[in-house]
Amino acid sequence: MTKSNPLFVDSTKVRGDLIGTQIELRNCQIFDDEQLFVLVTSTQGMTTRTQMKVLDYRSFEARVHLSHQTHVTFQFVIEKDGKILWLSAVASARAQYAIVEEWEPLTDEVAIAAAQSLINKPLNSLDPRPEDDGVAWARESSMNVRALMDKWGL
Amino acid sequence: MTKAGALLIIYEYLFGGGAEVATICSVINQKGGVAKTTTSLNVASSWAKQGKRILLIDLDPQSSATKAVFGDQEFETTIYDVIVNQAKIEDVIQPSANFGFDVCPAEIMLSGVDMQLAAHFGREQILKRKLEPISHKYDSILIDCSPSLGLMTINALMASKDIIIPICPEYFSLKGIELILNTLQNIRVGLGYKVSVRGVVITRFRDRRIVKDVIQQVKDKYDLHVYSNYIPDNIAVEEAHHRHQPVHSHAPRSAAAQAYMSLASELWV
Repeated sequence: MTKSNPLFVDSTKVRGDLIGTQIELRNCQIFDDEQLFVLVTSTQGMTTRTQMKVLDYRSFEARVHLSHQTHVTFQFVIEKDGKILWLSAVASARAQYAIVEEWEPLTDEVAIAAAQSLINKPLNSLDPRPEDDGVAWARESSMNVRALMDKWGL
Repeated sequence: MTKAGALLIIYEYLFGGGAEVATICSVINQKGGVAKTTTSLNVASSWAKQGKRILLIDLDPQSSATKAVFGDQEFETTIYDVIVNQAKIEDVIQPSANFGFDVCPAEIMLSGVDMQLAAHFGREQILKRKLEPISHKYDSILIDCSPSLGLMTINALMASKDIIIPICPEYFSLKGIELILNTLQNIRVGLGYKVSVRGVVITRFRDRRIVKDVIQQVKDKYDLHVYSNYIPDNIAVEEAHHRHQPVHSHAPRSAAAQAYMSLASELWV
């Protein structure tokens, strides 16, 4: 992740607060029957797929909600009839109020196939990552508490 | 109360009563010695001469604007007290008869503000909040910024609708423009606030080929508006500082005075 100057960090938010982020893609052109999407994956592995709207000549925008100052990865995809025509490389950023990128398409077929499988998933689906130790412990503890409450009739 | 009176109160509540607020603009360049203070003072004074209500905020710890207007006069409270000590901005403002506008004076203590406010909630918008109660009293508020990038410069930009960039047409000024545009982009990304560039003012202009090349580069490379009234390199400007007067009072027929008066009209939005 790139360095972050504390002068440009919103002091009214704490890390993880939900903020609205404007994502802009410049120098990109699509035809009438094509659609442009941005895929954003959060630290927790949750991927959202949002359609981008025309902002200006060859510029597109989308608004997504992200957790302030957390690490996100994102990728731009041009689709036609549900199939990927073009996509950009996966880029990463700190979640702030705006992400502005220039359009640079990839021609890698493996990457296109991987992205195709991602867009076929339902929107906002959770990536089935293995739980970390903390999450597993919390889940187990809550089940123990529930078992005790059931046993004692509370 | 009549129906008309009640409707007027509702209208004022909904639409702010039609009270216009000042346009807040920062004069900024992260490169020093480009006549930021001179431009701020003379443009503000020219506007005041045209009948506009103007407040000039000196946000530079070197207090050049304050000293140019008031000489060595010292003030009990300054913009530092507004930012750090909860002083009201109304209590700090000083009128200047010579220049025709009001001034928020600065002091050297401003240089330590970054450390004092490092952990302050909402530290980047203190000035914006403090200006709200007085913004309807002025037509325009001009902020003379420090060349260094710090919390005070961020406060100035967060309070401003747009900025004016004075440059001396030379290679390093182009680098200064890049720094400012980068800062504006960082503010947009990190703080979610968009500040636009009103335009670029050419100061200390000399009719040389290289100077014209640099001006053309500003227009072409950065796609910025360059004002057509260039401020010539003129001794009258320096003399005016010494006499604590705007150049249009000190030497009204000088090329600099006339250029600043024309520039002020061009800058007014």
